[in-house]
Amino acid sequence: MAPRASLDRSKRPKAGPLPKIVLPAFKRFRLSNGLTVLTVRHDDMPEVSARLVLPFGAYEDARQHAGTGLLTARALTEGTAERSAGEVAEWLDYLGARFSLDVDHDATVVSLHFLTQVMDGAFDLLAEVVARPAFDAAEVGRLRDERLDEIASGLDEPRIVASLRLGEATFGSHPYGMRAGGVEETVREIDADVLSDFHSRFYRPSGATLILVGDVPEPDELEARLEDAFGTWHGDPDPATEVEEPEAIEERRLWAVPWPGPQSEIRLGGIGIARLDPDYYATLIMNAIFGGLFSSRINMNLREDKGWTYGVSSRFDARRRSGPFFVATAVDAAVSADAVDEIIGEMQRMKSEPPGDEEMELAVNAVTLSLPRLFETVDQVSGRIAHQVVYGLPDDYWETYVDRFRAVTAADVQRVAGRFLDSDRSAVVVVGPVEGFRAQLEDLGPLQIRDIHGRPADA
Amino acid sequence: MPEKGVVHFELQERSLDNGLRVIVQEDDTAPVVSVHIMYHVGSKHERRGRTGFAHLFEHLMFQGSEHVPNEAHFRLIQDAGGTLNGSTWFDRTNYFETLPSNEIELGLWLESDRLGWFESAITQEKLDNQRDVVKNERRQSYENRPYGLAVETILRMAYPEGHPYHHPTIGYMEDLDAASLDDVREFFRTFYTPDNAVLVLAGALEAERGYELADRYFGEIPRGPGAPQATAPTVPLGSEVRETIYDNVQFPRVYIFHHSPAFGQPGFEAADVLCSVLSDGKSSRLYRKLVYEDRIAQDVSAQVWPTEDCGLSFIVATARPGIEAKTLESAILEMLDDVRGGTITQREAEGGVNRATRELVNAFDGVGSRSDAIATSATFLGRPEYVNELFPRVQAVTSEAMVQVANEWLVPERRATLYILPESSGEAGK
Repeated sequence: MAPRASLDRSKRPKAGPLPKIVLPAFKRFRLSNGLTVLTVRHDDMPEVSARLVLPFGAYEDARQHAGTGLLTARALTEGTAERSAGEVAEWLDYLGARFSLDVDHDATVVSLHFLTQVMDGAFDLLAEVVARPAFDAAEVGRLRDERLDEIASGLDEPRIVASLRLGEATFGSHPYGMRAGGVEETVREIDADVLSDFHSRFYRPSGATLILVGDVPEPDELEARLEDAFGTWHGDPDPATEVEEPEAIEERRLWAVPWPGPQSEIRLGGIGIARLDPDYYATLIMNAIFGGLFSSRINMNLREDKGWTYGVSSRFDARRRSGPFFVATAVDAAVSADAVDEIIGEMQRMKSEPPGDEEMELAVNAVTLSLPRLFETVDQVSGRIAHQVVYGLPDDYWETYVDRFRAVTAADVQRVAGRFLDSDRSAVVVVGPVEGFRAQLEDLGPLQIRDIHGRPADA
Repeated sequence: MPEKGVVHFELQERSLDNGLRVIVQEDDTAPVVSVHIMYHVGSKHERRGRTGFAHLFEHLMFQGSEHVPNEAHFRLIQDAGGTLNGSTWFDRTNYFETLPSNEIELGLWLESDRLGWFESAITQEKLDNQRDVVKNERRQSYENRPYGLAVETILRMAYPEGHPYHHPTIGYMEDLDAASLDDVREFFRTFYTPDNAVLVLAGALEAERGYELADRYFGEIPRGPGAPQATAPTVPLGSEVRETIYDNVQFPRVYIFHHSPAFGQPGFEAADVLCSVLSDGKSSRLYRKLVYEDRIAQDVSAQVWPTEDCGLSFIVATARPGIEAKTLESAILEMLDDVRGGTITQREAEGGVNRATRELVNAFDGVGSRSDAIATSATFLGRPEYVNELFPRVQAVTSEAMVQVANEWLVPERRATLYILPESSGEAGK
């Protein structure tokens, strides 16, 4: 090796010139049944990531049947007009494909990851399960029981209990207060007719989008193959229900759930932001500084300074309407109330002082310079495009992404902190050994003791 | 154009004078690069009374070095648009960043500084802080999670006292409490040397530049005295070990552990594909039987862990309401008998191979997990190019190979069985 040039270790090495980022430009065409297809060729690996986006989610669940959207999606592979549940399972597994579902309040995304060599079979399978599921009563009854088991098992996990209860404490009876999968009382009432009805109203090609990323043929050839597979699927869906804006929290809601254990699971949250709100970009920068990054204020404070936790973070889940904002952590039970105080203190500080230059730079850089990393794998690319589709973002969204964040100022950050980080209008849930922290937590306001189901209880 | 889901990576390798092995995999698909350094030290190298130390040490590596301020590591990488982490396993510890390709030197500077200039930056305060963080990690991820103590219990059952795999990587609380600054220094000097590490650079860079930069940043770090290697010996055939513990849960869960082929050893891929045939997908043997047909389990999974020495596998199933652990166990054992008897069809085997192949392709799509596989092959087997053999090895698995691995390994003589039962159902509930 050549002799080493002298190296100045005292400073971080200078970055090279920014690499050219080639954003995945998708091609768009429409099948004769109205299904929109977006494709990106990405052929370095012999794989395809397919995502079918239906612009209907759990928000369309009838209140008494909450969980319908999720169970409908789960029932797709439990038998079709042509095949039994066992036959569908065998077909899917022989192809080696991975079928997965993402049902949230805003949308239903049915995904299939497969190797190029089985592409034709994968298209046929996806079309068959989406267009012609059987909704056999016995299979649906089994799926319902499995979902009930899943709900029951979740109550063994303090982190899940804490998140569920925070949703209720924050949103009350608004559908955003419940997870997309429903609760025991509503899931219990779901049968095959409910799913079949939901399917016939919303699983329609018109308005739906199929995203294909990876080693796929050129559009002409692809279009012919997709016409073959999806051609018999027809119809228009019902119009989407207008989503109501959640009601603001008027005063602090404080819940404690007794749970024996060495730690407390803490959630503190409020009503956050809608995806298309103009403050979305400033809010993401504010959140990065407050609790989104490892080097955020709350993580530096609670983990790196105090050692109270393995980690604490905050997040805005932006939906069609204002979705949740929340801080989540698990702390040594002995410091449960202290940790809540510290989080509230950091919320205050975020509102009272604008962020420093370094904080702003870190947050904006972390969000914008990571762009090349966001489009590395086929699953990432199809996932980003799905996000564009669900929220109706423009085709050139990723081209404008960097500028949208670069335009955010420290004053914007302080302003949105004022808008969202109001601890007086927030919900706080602590799941842990209540006796140890009850008195101290009551300093923050009237404390309600709830059981793991969220029902009023005695400590 | 690749055929039949087979993927091949061109790897280029050169060692620095100080013994650091540098492996470059060029891939300009995306303007990103992965910097991945793997040290051949893990929980199996820990001495008695210091369980959890390799992992605690990993945390300290993020607390700054001579030229890198405390807490700057995460900040600098995220400021560059990158992502980073570290992880500790039985046999190795790794540290990795994925960065925009123009920031590769940042990754190399940070990694080389904490290898070459670590000791002057470490303080009692940092040790105490990260000890608290790790103790909270143990509470959060193990103690306060349902069934969270299963793996450490089963390791204790399956490996004799003093065996390198007898204890979990997270360690025990009292050992974490006992760790001192002297331990930190001694561990660092023993194991954190360039000749005990592999550096993988994957992504948008040319190999020559990769070597040049690796030499520039790591070249002046002296070779170590030679890190002692701990080999975990294969556990001889014995009789099945059984235990029941109680937890704050509603549903019984069964863990069936088997000593199994290690990563890179004959039978590893057959065991891996067998796990797929048993529990990956709704047509898989155990899922279909326990969850779909008999409806006795909420979930069932089979997996084999990629360890360096003696391998290990788990079959885990959670009972549905009203079902007892022994019902689950009997159903699983019946299925294993069936498999050992040679009932896996060719089509089932092909499906298992197809799923395992697809998973490999998916895992190697990103430079981060690809680097991990390359570094693991280099560290455990001394052959980074083994990563390319994974595809043909998986695709060569037949039903006969699975029957053979089941007959050799999935037998009572290599088994440990753990029941985790609701506290309310046992002594603890009284």
